Amino acid sequence: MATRQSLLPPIRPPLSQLSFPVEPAKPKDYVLFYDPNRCLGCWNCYLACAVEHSRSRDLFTAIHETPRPQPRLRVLSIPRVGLPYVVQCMHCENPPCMNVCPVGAIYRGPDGIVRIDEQACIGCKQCVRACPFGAMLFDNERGVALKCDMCEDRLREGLPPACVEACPTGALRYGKLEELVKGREKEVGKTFYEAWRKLIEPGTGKKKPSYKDVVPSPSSRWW
Amino acid sequence: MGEKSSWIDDKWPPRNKKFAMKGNVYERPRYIENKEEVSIDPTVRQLLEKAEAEGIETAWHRLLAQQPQCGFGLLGICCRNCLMGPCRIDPFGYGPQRGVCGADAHTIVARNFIRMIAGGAAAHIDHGREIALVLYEVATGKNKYYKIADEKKLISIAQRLGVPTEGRDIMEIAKDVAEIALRDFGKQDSEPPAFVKAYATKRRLELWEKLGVMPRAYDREVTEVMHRTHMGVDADPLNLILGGIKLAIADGWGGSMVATEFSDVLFGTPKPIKSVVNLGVLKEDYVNIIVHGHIPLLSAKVVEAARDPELVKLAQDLGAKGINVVGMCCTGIEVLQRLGVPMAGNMLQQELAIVTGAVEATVVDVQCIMPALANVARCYHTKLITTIPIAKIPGSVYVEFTPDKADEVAREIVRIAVENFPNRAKERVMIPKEKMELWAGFSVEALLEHLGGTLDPFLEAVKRGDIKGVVGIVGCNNPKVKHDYSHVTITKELIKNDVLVVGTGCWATAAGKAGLLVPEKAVEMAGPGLRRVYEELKLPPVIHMGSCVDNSRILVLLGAVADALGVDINQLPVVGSAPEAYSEKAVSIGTYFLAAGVDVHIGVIPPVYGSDVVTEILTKKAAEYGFGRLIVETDPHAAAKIMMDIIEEKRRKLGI
Repeated sequence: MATRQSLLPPIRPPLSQLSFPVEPAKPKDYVLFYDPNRCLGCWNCYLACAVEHSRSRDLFTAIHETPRPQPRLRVLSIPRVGLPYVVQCMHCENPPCMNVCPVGAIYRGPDGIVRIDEQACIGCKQCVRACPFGAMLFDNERGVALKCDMCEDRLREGLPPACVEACPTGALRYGKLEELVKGREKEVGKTFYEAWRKLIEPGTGKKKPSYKDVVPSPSSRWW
Repeated sequence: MGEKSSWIDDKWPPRNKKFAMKGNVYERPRYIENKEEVSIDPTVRQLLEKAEAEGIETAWHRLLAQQPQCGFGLLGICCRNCLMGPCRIDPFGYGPQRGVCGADAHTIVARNFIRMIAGGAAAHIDHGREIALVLYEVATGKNKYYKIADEKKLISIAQRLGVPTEGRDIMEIAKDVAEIALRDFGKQDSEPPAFVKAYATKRRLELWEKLGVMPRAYDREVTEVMHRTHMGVDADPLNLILGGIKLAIADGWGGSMVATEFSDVLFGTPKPIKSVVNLGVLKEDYVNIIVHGHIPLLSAKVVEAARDPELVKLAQDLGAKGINVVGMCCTGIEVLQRLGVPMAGNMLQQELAIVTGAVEATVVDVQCIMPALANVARCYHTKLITTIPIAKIPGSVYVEFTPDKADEVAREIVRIAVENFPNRAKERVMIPKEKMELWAGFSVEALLEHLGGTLDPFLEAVKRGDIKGVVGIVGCNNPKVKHDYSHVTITKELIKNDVLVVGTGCWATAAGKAGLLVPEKAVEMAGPGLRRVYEELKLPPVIHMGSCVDNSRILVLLGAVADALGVDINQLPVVGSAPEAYSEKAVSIGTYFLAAGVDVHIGVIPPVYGSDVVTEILTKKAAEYGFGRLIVETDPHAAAKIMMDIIEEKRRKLGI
C-alpha cells in the first residue's frame, strides 16, 4: 500500500547545513503542541510572537517599530462554524518545505527545529506552496520565507516559546509529547463510552455494535 | 537606572525564568519565590510566607496566575461596549484596524479611558452624596445620630457659597448649604455647580468655560460620559477626552469636595494628630476590629460603639483586655486624622491583616475592598461584615447600615466582633512587630493655622528657594510594582532635593510606614532648604493631607497659593504623582489634577498606548490647552528626576 510518506521524495541533505551549523536549542523529543479544544481565539499568541520577533521585545515599543514586527503564526476560524484555530509550523520530521526548496535553505536540525537559512533563500515561495498546513509565510519586505522558529533564543534561556507563554488556557503547550497528552485518553475514552452506551441502550433491538461504530473514521478526525 | 521597581517581569511576554513555566508541562508558578522583592515592608514578606504555608492565596499570587495579561487589554484596544463585539485592533497593522462599528484604535482607547474616569468619578460622587444627605437630615433634625461637629467650618463653607450667616441659627445655615450641595448633583440647568464655582480659582473657571469643559451637574456628567461612550455616539478622541476632563472636574471640585467639606462639618476638621501605623497595631489580647472602605459615616460610628462600656465589659468577660479598632484604606485615614485611630496598613495589606489570625471582624463599606477577603476570612475565625446594600460579597456577614439607625447597627457590628473573640485560634496568630509613629491630619485649615494664619511664610520659603516646589503624591498600591517602593523612593528623592511633599491615601500610609511622617526622621533625610523651613516654621517636609476624597484639600491649597501669587495653577512649581495607581478613581483623580493644570506622573502603564493620538493628547497636547500633561514613568528614580526638572522649569518661568 502506497502511503503518502513513500510517495514523497527522499530526504535530501540540505546544502546549507555546512555553512550554518547550530547548537541544539532543545531536546529532540520536546514539541510545541496545540490543543484546539482549549483555544479561545484570543490572539494573545499572535501578539506574543510579534513582540518576541521585534527588535525591542517590549509590547509598548514594538508596536511603533520599523520594520514592522512579523508574527509567524496565523489565527483563523473555521468557516461557518466560527471555532478558532491556530496555524503554526509543525516542524515536520520529513518536511515538504525542505524537500521542495531548490537551494536547500531549509533544514531540520538535530534538535528537531526546522530552520530557514535566510542568506540562502531566493524567495521563490515554493515552500509556501508546499506546506500542507499553510504555516509557511512570506516576508514581502525582506523577500525571504518566514515561519515559526520555536523562539530559539527563549529555548536557549530555558524558557518556553513566546506563544506558549502567552496562551492563557494552555491550548499551546511545550514539552514531551507523551506528558502533554497525558490524560487525553481519559477524555477520549469517555467520549467512546458515551457513544457505546447510546448504541447498546436496552430495548432498541439493535445489533451488537462493533468498535467501528464509535471510533471516528480517519477523514472525520481533525488535527 | 536604579533598582527595578517590579517584582514580576515588566517585559511582555515575560522573559524572566522565575516566572516562566516550570518543567515541561503547562504549569504556571503558584508560589512567589522572591518574597523579599515583593515589598519594602517587612510585614508583607512575613505574612506572605504564613499565607503560603497555610495555602491561602493573596492578590500577588493571583497576579502571578494572570500572567501574561492580555496584550490587547494592556494597550487599551479591546472594546466590549456592544454585542457586535468583542472587537480588538491589531496593533501591528496586519489584522483588523477597526471594530465592527468602525471605531478605530483612537476611538476605542479614548472611550475606554473616559469610562474609567466615569467609574472613578461615580464612586467619589456617590460618597459625596451620602454625606450631603446625612448633613441635610441632621440640619432638618431628622437624624439624631450625627451632629455638626465643626460650626466654624460650616460657616466658612456658607460664606464661600454666598449663604448669609449673620445672626442665623446654625441648623438653618446647614440646611441651606446642604440644599445647595444636593442640588448640584441632579440639577438640569447649564450653570456650573455652586461648589465648582465657589472652590475653583477664577482663572481656572475662565479656562474651562473657554474650552467647553465646565460641568453642569455631577450625575449628569457621569450619565453623559456613559452615553457618549456608547456605540455610535462620540468617535472623536479629543472630544471624548475633553468630556472625560469635564467629568473629572465635576468629581474634584464637586463630588470629592462635597465629601471632604461635609465630612469636616460632621466629624471635625482634622488637626495635626499623632498615631501609629502598620500591622503591629493589632493587639494580641484585644478584640481587633478593622474598619475598611471609604465613608466615615460607618467607621466613625464603629469607633464610637467600640468605646461603649457595655461592649467593653462584654469583651473583658470573654477574655479580652478590650476592643481595638484599627483602620485600613481611606476610611481608616478618615478616623485616623480626626480621632487618632491607628492604621493597620494600606490597600494591598488588606488580606494580610486577616492572615495574622488576630482579627475578629473586618467591617467594610464601599470601594477598594477585594472580594477575596471573604475567602481569606473563611480560613480563619474572622468575620467579613459588609454593610451597604450595593456592596455585598458572597461569603460575608451582611448587616445593613443606614444613617438612620447608625448607633444601633454599629453596636450590633461591634457585638458580633466581640462575640467572635473566643473563636480565635491562638496558635495561628502571628502579628508582625512592625509599627511606626506618624503625624496626620494636616487639613488646609490646620496648615494655615500652623503657618500663623496666612500663606506668606510658605510663599517666602518658596520664593527664597528653600522650598523649590511642592509635589502631591497620591494613590493606591498596585501589585504590578514593588509594594510601597515607588511611593517611598520618590518621596525620599524629592525631599532630598528640597521639594515639599504632600499627599493622601495609600501613599500616606506607605510614607507613614517608612517613618517619613515623623517630622524629625523626615528632616534627617531632607535637603538643607527643607531643614531650614522646619526649624523656622515647624513645617514638616512630608505632609499627610488625608484620604483620597481629601485630594480636594490639595486643590483648595493649590488655588489659594495660585491666587496669592497672582498666577494660574499651571504656572506653579507643582507636580502630581500616582506612583502605584490601580483604581478607576485614581484615573479620575489624575484627570482632575490635569484639569487643574498640574502635570501628573503615573508609575504604572495606563492602557492608552494602543493609540498614538490619545497618548499624544494626554502626554503632550493637553499642556498646550492649559491643562497639565501625563508623564508615564515606571522607574521611581527617573520619575523623581523628571518631576524636579519640571519644578525647575516652572520656577524659571515664574522668575523665582
